[in-house]
Amino acid sequence: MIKTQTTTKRDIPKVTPKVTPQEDISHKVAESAQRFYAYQYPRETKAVELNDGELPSRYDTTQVTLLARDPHYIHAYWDIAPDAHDQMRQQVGAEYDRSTYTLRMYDITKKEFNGHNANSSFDVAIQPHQNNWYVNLWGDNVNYCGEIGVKTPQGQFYPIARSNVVHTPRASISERSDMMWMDVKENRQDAFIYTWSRANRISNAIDKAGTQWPVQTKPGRKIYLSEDDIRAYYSSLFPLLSKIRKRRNGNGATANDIKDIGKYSHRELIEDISIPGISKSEYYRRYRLGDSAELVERGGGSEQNFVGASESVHQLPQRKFFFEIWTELIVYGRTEPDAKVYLDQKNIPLRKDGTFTLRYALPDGRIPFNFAAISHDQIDRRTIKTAVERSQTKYGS
Amino acid sequence: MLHAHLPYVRHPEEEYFLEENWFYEAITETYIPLLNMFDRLTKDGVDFRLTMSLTPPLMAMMRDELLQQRYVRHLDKLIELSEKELERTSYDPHYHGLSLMYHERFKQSRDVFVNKYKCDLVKGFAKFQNMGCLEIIASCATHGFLPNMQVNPESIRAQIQIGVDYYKKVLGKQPKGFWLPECGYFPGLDDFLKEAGIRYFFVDSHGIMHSDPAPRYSVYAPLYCPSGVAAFGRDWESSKQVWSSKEGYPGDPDYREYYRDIGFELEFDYIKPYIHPQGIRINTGIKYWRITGDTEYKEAYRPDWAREKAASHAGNFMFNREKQVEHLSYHMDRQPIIVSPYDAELFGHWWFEGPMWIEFLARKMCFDQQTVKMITPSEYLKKYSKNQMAYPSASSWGYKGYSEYWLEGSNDWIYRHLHMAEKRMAELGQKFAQYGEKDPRRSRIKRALNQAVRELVLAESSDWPFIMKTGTMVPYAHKRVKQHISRFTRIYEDLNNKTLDPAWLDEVEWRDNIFWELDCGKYYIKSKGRGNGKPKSKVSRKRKTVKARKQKTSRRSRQPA
Repeated sequence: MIKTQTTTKRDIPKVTPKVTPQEDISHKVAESAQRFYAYQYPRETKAVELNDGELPSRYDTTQVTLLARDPHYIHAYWDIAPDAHDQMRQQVGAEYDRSTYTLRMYDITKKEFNGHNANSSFDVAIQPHQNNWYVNLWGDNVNYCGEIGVKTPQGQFYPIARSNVVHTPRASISERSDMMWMDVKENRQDAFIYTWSRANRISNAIDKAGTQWPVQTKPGRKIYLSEDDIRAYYSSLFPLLSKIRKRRNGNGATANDIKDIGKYSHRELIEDISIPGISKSEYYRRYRLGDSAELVERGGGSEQNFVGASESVHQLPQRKFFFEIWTELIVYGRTEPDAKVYLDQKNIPLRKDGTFTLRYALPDGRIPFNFAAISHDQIDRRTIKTAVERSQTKYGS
Repeated sequence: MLHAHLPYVRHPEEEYFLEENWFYEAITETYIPLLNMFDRLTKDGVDFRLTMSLTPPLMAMMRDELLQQRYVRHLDKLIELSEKELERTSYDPHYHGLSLMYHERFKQSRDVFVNKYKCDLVKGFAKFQNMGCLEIIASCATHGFLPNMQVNPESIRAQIQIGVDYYKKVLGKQPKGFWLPECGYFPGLDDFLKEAGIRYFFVDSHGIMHSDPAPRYSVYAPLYCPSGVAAFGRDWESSKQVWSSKEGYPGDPDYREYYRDIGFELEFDYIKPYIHPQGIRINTGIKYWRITGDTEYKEAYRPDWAREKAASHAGNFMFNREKQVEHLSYHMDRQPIIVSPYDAELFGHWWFEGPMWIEFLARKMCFDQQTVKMITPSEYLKKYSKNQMAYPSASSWGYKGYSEYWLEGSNDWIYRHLHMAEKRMAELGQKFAQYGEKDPRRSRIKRALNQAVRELVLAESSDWPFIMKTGTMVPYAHKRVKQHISRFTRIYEDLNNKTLDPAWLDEVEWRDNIFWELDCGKYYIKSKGRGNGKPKSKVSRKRKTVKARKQKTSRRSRQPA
């Protein structure tokens, strides 16, 4: 029996563990929920059959959608409405019967796509019965857009629908290592970067372990970054923090700078924190901490089986041949219904007809049983003594 | 950091439903032991900190009357079974002690559940949050995997907002942290979190390591996304010690074996009343064997040995963390933070001695050393409000680190239906915009809209594709997705054709009543249209000026279109 305490006006009836599916609990709703509380009306006894049908195999639209699965795979699914076939037939004309439906993938990294200005593209031929595909890419951290259409044997492509733009994740550590900071307080957040003058950029310091590390001395002044700067940093225009700094200091970006952007977009930069004589990997080993870096470089950080639920904790039982037995002992008996039965001083409850059944796990060894039965008026008394033995179990093959 | 989540499984239409057992097992073996552990620690004055995420479906199930009653019924049956076991094993010395142990546990669980927390476990967790030693963070409405929903930003916003609002309603305060389902992150998601008022969230290690630009302190300090929300990265070393199936603690031979349960072993007629009514054998929770090693032959469980092992593993874990922190602080000019998130179900359900291990760890960390201290992320942010700014990379903590687990051969077919349903919901939101403020008790159309949102979020749950991939209860997952999508489609068609059937709507409302207290429709019905539904981050407003200045189209290459 549960008595649940609530702070409501009415007393609720005592609720038993047996489930009564429909009880009126409208009085339990807090004030704020009263507005939207629409359920648990007292229900009529007639149950409504919910015929949840199957899902449609297609929707009557023509579309293609891309989903980024991991750095090198995009999942594409599409739907071509029946009237789109007719439309295409008209558009393509005579060649339609020898044309194939194709999915054309456009690489549009760092571009606004208008149909013609992709960096590159490739085609995937589609079978008529197919409606999805896993597209394999050879680069990570790229943007893709897809178009589904008809391609004639001559190579002419007539698109029907265009997909959304997806961005695949990075698969490696970023080449940029500029250090931008942010200070978030209750009601404002400031982003800024530090500047150092060339003179006091590096100095050797001795740390607690006694080794000499090149360590940055105290930084110079702060330059606060505006949202424009942050956006510019993440756009194709100004990938270098130094350009932003120059711009803020008053030296505008020259035409040459803009031309040079293309050169800088994928090169390695260890700009402000460059230390002569140390290679990039060495720098990472010393300053980018933790074993995670190496692990991530090797295999994406998830070489271990990071399955969300803990099924990686226990190995699933191997499917080897198994054979086990257990033995149980059932002792049953009968007497007059109102008598009392004792097994080693413990009272055994009888059923209404005076019978009883006892079940025990039977391990190796000898188990004695000493029963005694006494009649209701305490005059008659019987005892039965026995013992059960299971000899030592041997396992073999 | 413990992530507690269960899919919303509540079937009032049937007296006994097998999948509801997941919930009952989790309460008996994980949540009640955790609460008892918090109780003991606070009584003894141990200064510990733990972060927990209670997802909205789990909170909704814990507060639901029907499931509470059914749980007590389940527990009563277990107590009965353990009494019978006590008798059955009276001559068997190895197992009698164990059945006594289970008997006591079940009785104590019932007492704690019914009398101490009055059947509402959420209040128990809230009590410890108010004491300051536990921080509860919010999560998405039904644990939907957000990177796969990028095509429809409206639905991402709805998942996050519903999760945050439900948290506010149940626990009464604004959540500071957020648990992204499966740590699924993509750049731009933080803008949605910022809208909801979140201060920090968690990503997997390679989310931080592959950030743009590269992180100075790798995963041992948080990164600020340009929107101002902090991202904490998982530490691989400490996770491996617990998660790894080969070298982790839970695989130790002295611990209890999960896959040997009396529900499968005992004779059929005896165990029949305690397994599924149709005679399917299931786990009961009473297990007598220990792992013993990589062998078929298992030995009897010895609780005292297991307890000693848990204590020594806790000590080992703490020692490793001490060494790790000492090594790190040579290279860092601030105190490093080590983030170890785990599924809460691991502790207690899969790994029986898990809560014991946490308790030992908390006590040892408090009293036996001075190097490492337990801390919550918001305390760390208060201490170090200045952190590096970078965009973490798109990642998840699933197998292979990205979205593959939820998007592969067994489950990719659901996405065309989900995306279509999401688009249709946005359509409905615009079409019925004038119902935004209506009271659902007076307006059947508003009720239908609310219910449509409920069906949609139930279908979006990441548990269904997860189950389809792992292959455990696949027909059930199929059934759930189909049910919710087809019910949604029917509401959509009915609303467009004005053919709502009130009896059918009543029945669906009664069955799928997650978030019945919330006005779900308002997350999609916007009185002022916002266009494409992307978040209004400050950055996008300035787009025009830059464009005008540069006369070149510049795109933030990371923003999803």
